[in-house]
Amino acid sequence: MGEWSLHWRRNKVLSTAWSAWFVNYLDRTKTAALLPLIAASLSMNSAETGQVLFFFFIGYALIQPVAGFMTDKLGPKKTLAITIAAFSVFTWTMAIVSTWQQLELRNLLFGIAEGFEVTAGSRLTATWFPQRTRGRAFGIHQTAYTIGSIIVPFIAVPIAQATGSWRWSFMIIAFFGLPVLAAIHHYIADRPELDSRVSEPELEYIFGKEELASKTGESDPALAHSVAELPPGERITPYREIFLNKNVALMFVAGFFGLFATWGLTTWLPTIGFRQLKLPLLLAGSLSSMVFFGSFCGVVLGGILSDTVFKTKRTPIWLFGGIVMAAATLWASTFRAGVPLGVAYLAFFIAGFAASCSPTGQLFAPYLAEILTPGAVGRSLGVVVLGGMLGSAVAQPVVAALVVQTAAGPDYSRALLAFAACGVIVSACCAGMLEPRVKRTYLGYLLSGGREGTWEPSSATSSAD
Amino acid sequence: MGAFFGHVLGGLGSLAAAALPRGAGPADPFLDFGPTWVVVIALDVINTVAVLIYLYRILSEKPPTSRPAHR
Repeated sequence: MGEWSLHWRRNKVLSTAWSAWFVNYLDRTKTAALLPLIAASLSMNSAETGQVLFFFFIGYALIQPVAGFMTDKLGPKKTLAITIAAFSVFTWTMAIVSTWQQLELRNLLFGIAEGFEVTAGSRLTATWFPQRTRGRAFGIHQTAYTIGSIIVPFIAVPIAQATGSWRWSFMIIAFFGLPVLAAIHHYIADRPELDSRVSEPELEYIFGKEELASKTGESDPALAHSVAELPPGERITPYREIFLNKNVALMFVAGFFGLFATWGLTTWLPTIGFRQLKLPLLLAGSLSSMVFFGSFCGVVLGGILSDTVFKTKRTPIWLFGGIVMAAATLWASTFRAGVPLGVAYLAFFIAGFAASCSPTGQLFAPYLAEILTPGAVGRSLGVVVLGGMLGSAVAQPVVAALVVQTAAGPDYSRALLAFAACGVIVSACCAGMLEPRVKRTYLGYLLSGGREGTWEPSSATSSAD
Repeated sequence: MGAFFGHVLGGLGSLAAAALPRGAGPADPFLDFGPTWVVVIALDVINTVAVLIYLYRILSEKPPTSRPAHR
């Protein structure tokens, strides 16, 4: 009982953030699952269908910097509540559209509304969990997007089939936000030390006794001038350190190429399976599910390995992820009709597993909390996710341009080679990122025989004064 | 750019639509919902009101500006 109560409040916060992320993904991926029915219902042609989806990505991407600031300034609790409330309402309004233009506008607003969740949920995990367990906690948080993507066809499509209209799926799923709002109201607090329900032993577990005693302020780490102004667990991190940061810039680039490959692969895979591998439609669709299943295993195992085997180092997981994803998609580029289904499943499971081991798949909240400070996770993550979502958006036209028409049908090998190249670029970016745990890049640490570097945050000297 | 998206997703859409013909009603939501339209309006109102109540309660909370004195 004593041990359990030591973790009770943190786990409630994590469960609530998980639920919000899960419903967010359920809500956004249901549109794709129901797209064939919606397109038929609204008589949408290919270009119109594409535009409707593109507007979601653009709305989601462009709002990220705003979402990041809002998370850090307004607080993750209120930001999380606003996003859940907004997309719950936009979901039901999408059920009553009669033209594709109406759907397009609502999808833009829906993308903007959904875009606030990732920064808020990540900031909560970064603030509430100590460094030694942050990787695992965030791994659990990230399972929500993989599970949501896997199960959405089994929720949205049966509702549409049972009721005879895709609109009822939107109507019913719009209610899923209500229990999450209730949980946010009851369980979330922006910071553990401000929550009277957190016991002193749990606070000491999170921050350590000394940190808790020495930092009693509540100032924004970007604006604080002295350590005394800071809340526990934070350090002074001026704006120039957040936005003129080589590591954040590398994460932006890695995010762009990482999500280019991830969303390019999962969007196109059913088509590749059906047209190039000549699989039945259902089995072709299941290839994407294997990618998400691989991602599920990747985020869980990656968090555990980062916290335990790598002793809270984050970048080794990302280095491994990019290279392995490159190898798996390179392997998949050789697949032709008649490839055994088990082999295809294995390749795409590995690709999904490795793709999740990237700076936009997992460990990004712990990394930003440790390279900067937990109180700046929202603002810095807004920049990183912007890169990732822009990559997701441009992946579609670029991949379309790489398809080669042959006598045997369309050939997608060049697209898969492009995903492999993305994996290499992701690993190259991660190789240049500083690993705060060893105060130098991880490769530098390995090549020097395990010697730690001399990096210090630029504000460390002034904060020590 | 939309045309590129459509190339991929529209193609997928038409394939899947053939496998799932049930569930695509008329474009007019009044016709699609039919006699259940009143239920739809009622559910929308209930959902929105409940969402707004929770949102108001959460946004009107005054976050503590200092640590609680007792734990």
